[in-house]
Amino acid sequence: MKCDKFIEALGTRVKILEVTRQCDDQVTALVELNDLPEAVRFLYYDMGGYLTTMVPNDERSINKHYALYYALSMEGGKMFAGDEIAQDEKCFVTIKTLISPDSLVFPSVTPLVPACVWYEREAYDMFGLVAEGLPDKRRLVLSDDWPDNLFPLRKDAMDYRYRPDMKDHYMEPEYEFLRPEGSGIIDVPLGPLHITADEPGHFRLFCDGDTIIDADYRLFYQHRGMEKLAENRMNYDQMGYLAERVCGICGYAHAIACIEAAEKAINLEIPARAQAIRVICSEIERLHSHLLNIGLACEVTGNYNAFMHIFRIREYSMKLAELVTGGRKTYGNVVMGGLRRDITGVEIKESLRILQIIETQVDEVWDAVMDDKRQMSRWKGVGILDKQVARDFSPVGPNIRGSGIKRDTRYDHPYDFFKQIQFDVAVVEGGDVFAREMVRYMELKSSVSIIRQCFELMPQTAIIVDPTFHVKPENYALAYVEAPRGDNVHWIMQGSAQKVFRWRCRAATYNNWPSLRFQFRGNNLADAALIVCSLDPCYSCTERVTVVDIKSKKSKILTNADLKNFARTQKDSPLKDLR
Amino acid sequence: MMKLLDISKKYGEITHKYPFEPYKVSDNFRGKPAYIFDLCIGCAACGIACPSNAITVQFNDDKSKLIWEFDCGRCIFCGRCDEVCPTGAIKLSEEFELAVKFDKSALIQRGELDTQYCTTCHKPFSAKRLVKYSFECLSKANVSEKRLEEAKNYLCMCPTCKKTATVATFTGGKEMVIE
Amino acid sequence: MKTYEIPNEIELANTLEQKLELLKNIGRSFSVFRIDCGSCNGCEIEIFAAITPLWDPERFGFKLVANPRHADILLCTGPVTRQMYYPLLRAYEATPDPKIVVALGACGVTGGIFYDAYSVLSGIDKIIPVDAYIPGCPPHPASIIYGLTTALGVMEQKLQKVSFEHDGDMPPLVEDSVMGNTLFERDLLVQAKRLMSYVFGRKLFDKYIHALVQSGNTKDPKATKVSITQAMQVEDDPRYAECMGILHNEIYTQYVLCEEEDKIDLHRVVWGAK
Repeated sequence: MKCDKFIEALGTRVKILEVTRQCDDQVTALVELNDLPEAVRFLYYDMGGYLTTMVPNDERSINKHYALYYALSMEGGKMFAGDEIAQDEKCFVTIKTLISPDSLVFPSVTPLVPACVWYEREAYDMFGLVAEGLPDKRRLVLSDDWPDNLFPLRKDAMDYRYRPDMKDHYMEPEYEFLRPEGSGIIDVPLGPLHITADEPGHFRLFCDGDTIIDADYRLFYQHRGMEKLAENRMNYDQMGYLAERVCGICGYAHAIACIEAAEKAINLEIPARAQAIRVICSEIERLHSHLLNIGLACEVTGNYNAFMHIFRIREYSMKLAELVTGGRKTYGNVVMGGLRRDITGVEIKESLRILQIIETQVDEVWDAVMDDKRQMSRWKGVGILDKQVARDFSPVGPNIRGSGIKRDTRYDHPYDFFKQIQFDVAVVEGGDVFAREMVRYMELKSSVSIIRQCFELMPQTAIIVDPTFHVKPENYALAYVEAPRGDNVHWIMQGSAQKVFRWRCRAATYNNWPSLRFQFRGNNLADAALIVCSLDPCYSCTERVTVVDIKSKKSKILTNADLKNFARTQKDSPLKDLR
Repeated sequence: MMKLLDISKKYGEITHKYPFEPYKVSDNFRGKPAYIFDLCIGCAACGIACPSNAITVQFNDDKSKLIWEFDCGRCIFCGRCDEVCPTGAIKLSEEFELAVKFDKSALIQRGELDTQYCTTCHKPFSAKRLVKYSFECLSKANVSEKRLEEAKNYLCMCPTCKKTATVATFTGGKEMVIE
Repeated sequence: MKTYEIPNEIELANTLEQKLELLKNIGRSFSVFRIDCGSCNGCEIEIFAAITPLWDPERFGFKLVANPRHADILLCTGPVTRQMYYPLLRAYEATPDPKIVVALGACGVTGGIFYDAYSVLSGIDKIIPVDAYIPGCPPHPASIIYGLTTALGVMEQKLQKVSFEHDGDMPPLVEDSVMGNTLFERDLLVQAKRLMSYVFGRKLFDKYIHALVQSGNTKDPKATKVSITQAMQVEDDPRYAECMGILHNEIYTQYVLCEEEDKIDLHRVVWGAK
């Protein structure tokens, strides 16, 4: 069966205590606490895995321990042609380990696999689990005024409605930024309320003249405490709507990922028509999100004309969503077991008409933008994401595909209706803003074709299963959906009484932030907003906090000249000797 | 650069005239839930389904009325209430002009329903309309006269008393006919 | 929990008269500063959509500004997360008096779906005084335009508090069954909703019942098969047509004794042929 190969290989390296299978392509291996870093590193670098998510969990009521789940997507390193696992062997392998509530300490994986950095910081914030050896132990998710030693996601910590007292607002707590050493460095604060950023987030850019030499950021201004809320107040029927409000742009992808995780945990197959409509709606979401991002990438470089045109076209995609789901932005049609809104012939006809309009007009405007030399000079060569940095930090979506790595959940782990659909994964080399926008444009085209295929292949079945299924407490599974900016991964462990025991929601941007620091370095200050924009960040998605450059201690020793040279030539990476 | 200007010329003026002319949203747009008080039976299905708890169904302080209340400010327009309502008392309309000035209470809709008291313990447990509706459903569902007569009693009992009565029937050796 | 208390001088400079005076004076040129207090971003996107050429609020003088010190109106979204509480107050105090505060979206108005979570403070008006509320999750751009023009007095407010206090007589709600058994209608409606959702399922239900009654005798499987097939043939929409057939095969056959041949062969019926 799938996954067995990896478990076998892992067994030669570390001692595996127990293997459990969640579904066809998901398997969990329990290892000893001390073997954890080596197990994750082995799967990540030696077997070709990417870090999908990490879930800390309070399982004291189940097995008297805290648990950590490191989920890896086994798909191949993809650094060069052929460096990929065969299509039918791709799967998810989860490394599980148990932590005793007396010690609360686990060995950090971050020094071996940098991609884990945010996850391990969050484990401390939410559960008080200390990663021994983690270079950056600052707060990530919770607000600066949150009391120490109160860990909200512990089951016995507090009521989900408990709100500790606020500080006087003149005494607002300060956040400590990692500042590079050296003279003549100017701090440029950006945010949390800034005109080029739609959402709050605080960036601290460290500049030498006009050049950014380093950056640090404090995000998670939007942490709302959804995971705890869902565990306490919501049942499965309501959770989909909460998940949809994780993010206002890729919310639908969250909604399906969340519900599919619950469905996968009990192996519930939904009707084919519902699968097709889920795909249609998520592709409509991709249309509007990519148009939004391309528009904003024009806007932050001052090209208002193109911005307005792209937003004019984007209104068609919003109209399309309104037609198919009844809402422009929140589609609200996902429930466990299927869907709650069908598409009839009238809608299909009108949708096809609108798709035609979008397709022609996008081409017109894109052609005009490509023709504009000034616009191109602002996009090309800016904010480069090095391929090796991408491999280390597991970024997702157009961000990694713009660096020439072919990672797309729809292709690697086809879900729902994608098994029956033909499409090409958009991959562009270069890693700069231009490459990322090009990926988005190519995906716009493929989304239009995917929606058309779905309308054509959509079978005439019911849209929801018979409501006779039962949830099984302590069953858990991962679900993954390729949202416009990368894969959204939800992990659900079912509880009793129609509620979840633990819901872990990992948004695409969560994996993209940690590598942003490297994209900033060596660029002009004026491009900072553009670089952030080209990530298509979703601050609210991340809903947790700051970046960590685990290597910052070493990189501080580097001279500015080194960094500048690196940014200009992309050769002789100053980081290479750290690996 | 010039190409963009050509595109502007091609598509001309596209601004909607709204608010000076009405704006038509798509059919089946999910707008403000419209409440028809006459059809509401106080079953609280909407209150249970509502993900954001915008709809609440609660007794008032002296329990003489069952109060259905909807706060449009908290509504997330998902349409769950519409989906679960058995009588069509709440339906999403296409209304999107919802803004209010200064006084937030304009966002609230409420309805007071008379309470049904338990015939045995005299505690309030439901709305009168719900009992009436349940009986109406039963009477048209092809059940026998005798069964209907029994239902009349049972429907007016609170869940606790109903349980006690059922247990008493069983343990008392009386025969129960279920058709 | 103790939150912000408005300093005296700000309160005195923000009375209702002063605000109305400001609204009169700014007329058709007002500057808006947008504060995202931890919203999911949906509202920001719709504000963005509302400033594009399709809606063009500059017709009313709406202008987004980069600094709260330039603003007449603060447009706040989000349920006010703990971490945004401080920046919100900094922006509020920096705005010149008198200032108009608009709460946008379900979260801004009441906290929305997050209203009782630990890391939020349940809406803008729990922290600072709010003058206009625009509900919606997120509001349609037209709602935003309407809300802003209402705040400015161009449009009239439509919603008023509605309270029904007299529990009158309830009209009979349950219609007579076409089959003499309301369980048939119940099952039919459930299945119709499973097939085509609550929105279209009810229409499908009506269409099917209408066709069934057309047959003259609802309990005769031969007659009903003919009338349903006919209805399927004149139906424009293939989805409705097919679902009518599925309903007939799956539900009707449970209530009336049918042979296998009384089922409709869904592959043979051609629809849309008026």
